[in-house]
This record gives sequence, structure tokens and C-alpha cells, in this order.
Amino acid sequence: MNVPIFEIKDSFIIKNILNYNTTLSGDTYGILFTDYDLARKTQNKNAERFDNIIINTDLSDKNNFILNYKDDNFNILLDNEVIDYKDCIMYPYQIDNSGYTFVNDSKHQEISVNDLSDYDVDDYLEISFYLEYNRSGETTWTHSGETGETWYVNGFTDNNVYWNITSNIPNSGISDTINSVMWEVTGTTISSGQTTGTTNWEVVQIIPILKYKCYVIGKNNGVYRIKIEKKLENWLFNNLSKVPNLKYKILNINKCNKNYLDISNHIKKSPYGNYISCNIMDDVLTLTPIRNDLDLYFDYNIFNIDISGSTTINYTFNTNYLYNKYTLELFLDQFFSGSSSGETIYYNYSGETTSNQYEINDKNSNRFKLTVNNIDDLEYFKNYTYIYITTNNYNTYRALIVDINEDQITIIPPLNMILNESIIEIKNLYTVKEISDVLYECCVNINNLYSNDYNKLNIDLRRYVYNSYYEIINNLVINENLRNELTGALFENINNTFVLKIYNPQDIKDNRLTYLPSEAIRIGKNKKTSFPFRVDSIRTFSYNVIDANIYTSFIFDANKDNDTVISG
Amino acid sequence: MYTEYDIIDEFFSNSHEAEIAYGQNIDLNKSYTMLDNVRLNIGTKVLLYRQKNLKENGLYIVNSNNELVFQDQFNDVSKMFRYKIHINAGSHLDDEFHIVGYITVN
Repeated sequence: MNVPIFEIKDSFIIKNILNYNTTLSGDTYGILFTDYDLARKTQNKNAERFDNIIINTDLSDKNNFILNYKDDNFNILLDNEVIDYKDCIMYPYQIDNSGYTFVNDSKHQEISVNDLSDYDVDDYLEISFYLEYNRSGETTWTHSGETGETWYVNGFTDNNVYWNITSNIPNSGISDTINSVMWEVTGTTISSGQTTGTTNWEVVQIIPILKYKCYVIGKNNGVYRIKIEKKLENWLFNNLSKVPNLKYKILNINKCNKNYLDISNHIKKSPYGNYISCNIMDDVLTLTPIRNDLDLYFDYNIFNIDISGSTTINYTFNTNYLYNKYTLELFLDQFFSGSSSGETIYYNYSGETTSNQYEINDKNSNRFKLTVNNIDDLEYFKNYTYIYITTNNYNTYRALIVDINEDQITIIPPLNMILNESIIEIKNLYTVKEISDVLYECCVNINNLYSNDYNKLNIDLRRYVYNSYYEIINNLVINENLRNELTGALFENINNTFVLKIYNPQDIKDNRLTYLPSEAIRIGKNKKTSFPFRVDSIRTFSYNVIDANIYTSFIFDANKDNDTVISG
Repeated sequence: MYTEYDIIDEFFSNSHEAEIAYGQNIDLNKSYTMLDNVRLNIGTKVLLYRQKNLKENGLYIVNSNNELVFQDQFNDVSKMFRYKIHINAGSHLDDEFHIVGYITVN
């Protein structure tokens, strides 16, 4: 006979703050994602977790420094020339009798350059507007010493403003641009003893007005002007054109000298300048990922650099933090001795089909229907999963199933499917690598980037794809052993709600997963609940997860109700 | 979506009511008109939880002779899962008794 043991208890629902520690503790990561973007966005750090790139290769035989990100290749041409066209005067001045220097159009703008060959379409420019004033004077210097000693004189300009000393001063060593409220000149004595003399000084005041970046979109060969994106609004353009003696200069960020200092400056001004910091020391360029608050989840994992010439060297940012570079294959490698790519996680199944010829209407509608010859095959195919389709010409592509109805399957056709082909066979993608790769393409979602057949999907379709593959891992018997290895899975369901599925909360083997009780609600008679109260600040206590759902049961000592002693 | 209401429903899926929970050993061969200052009527439910004979612990219903009739509820152990009984009178008014385990005796 089974005799129950009774205890008096109150019942509470304890709400927990669930934490998953993703630091590099060495433990296996247990939370699975099929949405790679979501995996990255669960992390509160991104750039900080990637290692630096250190570049010190000899540039003498190199021609290009290329920053690669997704389908963008920002090419800095290393042709020993910095295209920094400056001191041009804006409208109303004309140059070369060929027209105005800066022209406004309804769709673009044009700006005069001295050499059109310095610019190509898609070059990225930094255009600066500024005013420039010169000031000069004469100073008397006295110096006592041996021949060859350096004398030094400085002084304030008469209006006491900041100046840039920009030119070589006669009888002085000044050659760099220096920001100062004062001028300064130095020289070398030519005889021993006390010598005196007079020296001219000259400074240039630069007043920055406006600086912006834009792409070259064409050339106007007849008038030596390049066409650029219209970044200046009409009102701003008109206002600028009324400023007397307004000058501009153009820096072509895609053209550079073969040295790391100039390359560094160009990277800073490139579209990736807000993602990477550059440091030069002893002719070694160090690139460090930096947090960009406007784009926190920039994918450093796929950002890379090619330095090309007689040979090409590739550099990538690396991290050991799995969720910052997550793919299903990388994740599952943990459970398959580092090589999960060939493992089967879905039905290895194919079926014969018939279809009409693929026509332009199908291409335009982005939908194509095929019929399975054996209707029983359909139980092995699933909505919003990818299949291989084989055509009557024995071409094979990947396509996405978006509907299964009676004996018909509707697919989103592959981007590169040839017109007039028909489909004679379909087959599932069933290995970890096949599925991992296509999920990655969905995450990046750019036509033709990694394969010619990927057809860009909207976010809703991609979410359906992620959920379908989650369901495959979550439901299929063949994945039971795999599920036993997992702590859980995190996904966004069709209602746009994030769901964390914990596979076995009663047997917590994953030290990364912790619960922190934060709020309790007492459940009274007739299931009525009390106002919630905080429990996290009371004292540390133990607890048990009591079933497959994420909640916990506590015993409050009735005799110490106010003190809220809790035992597991 | 799983909510706290679902949790409550699950948690109370094996919930019961009784008028009295009595914690002193009594002789089950006798009739009683009152326990724990609560008058017993036909159908009154009594939980005995500290009988010396462990087999006698459990839920009883008072019959027309004011005897306590044992309700053998737990032959199947699974019926103990989340078993809780709420007391509506006596010194244990509004207390909840939970089954926290069991022992098997011959």
C-alpha cells in the first residue's frame, strides 16, 4: 500500500530571470538556434569579442587593399598616389573656361576635378568645403652660439586665432601643418658668436565649413567634372555657392599610397571606418573591431581583407565566442567531435515529379508548381524547407517549398533556373552542412552571394524557414539523441514571440544555464493570486525545477511567513 | 503561449477540498460528531495525516453513522502527482496540504 506523506505548504509561482552564460568557460554551448541573426543578437557584446588583425606584409608587390563585407568589396588601389585635389574655388569662379566648378542637378551633382582619370564610378570621396586666409609678418631674431646651432622664434598673430602653418618658411625648418595660436620659425646659425637677422613668417588660417562623403556615379568628360551622389540639398547648395572664396577639396578614398599610414587614414574614412580602428606602430597596421552603436551586430565573422598583388593575402577577424559567429554546423560540431557536416538531421528522401516548363510568368511571379508522382512521398517533405530540384536537363538547384497541397508542391524557384526546364525529381537537403549553409544564406539574404540559386526572401518567409528547421530538430525521432545533448533552443515563433524551449530542466547539466528567482506570486484558494513581491533581494535560497515547463516550486515556512524562509 | 495561468491550471490539476485536517491519532472504529471543533455531518471530508498506523493516513468521508470512511485514492502512485488538499474549517482553515512523497508498506 502506498501511504502519502503530507506537508502544509503555500503555493507560489516564482518568476525567474533566466541567464545563459556565453563567456569562454570551456563548457559546451547548449542553446541551439536556426535563426543565425537571432543567435548574434542574444549577445550583449560583438565587436569587443573579435581579435585584432595585425598586418605587416611587404606592400611593394601589392596593388589592392580590399575590404570585403557581404556583397561589398571596397577596393583601395595602392598606386602610390593620394588623390587629394584641393584649393579649388567654388562657384561663381570658372576653371579651364569649361564651366562652373560645382553644378547642381535634380538627381545628382557635379564637381570639377583636375584629372578625370583619378576617379572611377563607385569611388568613394570625401569632399571638404573650407575658407582659407593668409597672414604673414617679419620677426627679428638673435642667437648666440656655435655655427650650426638652431635658433627658434615664435609669436602670436595679431588677431590671436588658430592658424595652420602650411608652407616652408624661408630660412626655417617648418614644413608641416601645425595647429597653433602662434607662429613659430626656426633656423640654423651660419657663424659662431652672436648673430641676428630678420625672418619672414607666413601662416594660413583654414576655416572648415562642411565635410561629407559620397560616391562617384559618372563622369562629365567634356567639362572635367565628375558626377556624384546628390548629398547636398538645394538650399544648402545655394547657400554654399553664395559664400565668397569658398574652396573645396576632394579626397578619393579608393586611391592610396603604398604605406600603412595612408592606408590607415583611408580605412578610417571608408564606409567601414566606424567599425574598425587602425593603429600604426613600427610599420605594422593593427585593425581592432570597435563597437558601432548604430550597427551593433555588424558581422565581423564575414568581414575580411584581401591584400592582392603578385600574391594575395587574406585576413579575417576571429573569435572563440560561438554565438557571435554562429552557424548550425559550428554548433553541432561540439557534439560530433568537430565534424558534424555529414551528419543526417532530416529525411534523406527523393521523389519523382512532373511539372510544366518553367516560363517567364513563373519567374515573374516567383512561384512554380510541380506534382509528385507518388502522393505518399509528401509525408517526407515539409513546408518552408529547401529541396534540390532536378530538371529534365539534369540541372540541379535548390528551391524553397512554400506550399504543399494535395499532390502539388509550390516552390520559390531558384534564381538561376533556366527557362523551359521542367522538374523531374526533388530531394531533401538532409545533412548538417547542407542545412547549415542554406540557413546562413537566409541570414545574409543576398542574391547570388554564396551560390547562384539563392533567391532573396522577405523576413516572414525567412522566419518560417528558421522555424521549420527548428521543428525538424525538435520533433524528428532521428534527432532524439541530438536533443539529449542540447540544453534548449531559442526561436521566434509565427506570432513574433521569442520562445526558449528547455529540453530537460529537471536535469540541469549545462552550467551555463542559471535561474535567478526575482518575483513571487502566492496562489491562494480557488487559484486566486496575490500581488507579486520581489524575492531576489531577500536571501539566497535553493529551488527545484519540477517539470518540463520553466517554473519552480518553493516551500515557505508558515511559521516564519514574514521572514520568508524558503527551502527546496 | 505558455502563461502563468497555464501554470496555475497545471499546478492545480490534482487539487481537492476537505473541511478538516486532523493531526492527532484517533480510533477509526469509533463514531465522531466533532473533530478540531468542527461538527461532522454526512459527507464531511476529513484528512488524517498523523495516524500512528501509517496506512490510516489519508482522506475520509463521514457516513450516516458518523464514522470516517477511508477513501483509498493512491493505489496508483501517479495519482499523488501534484495532489494537494485545501482545508476549509478548523485550526487548519485555509491551509493547503501537499503530498511531498510516499512510503510503501505491506
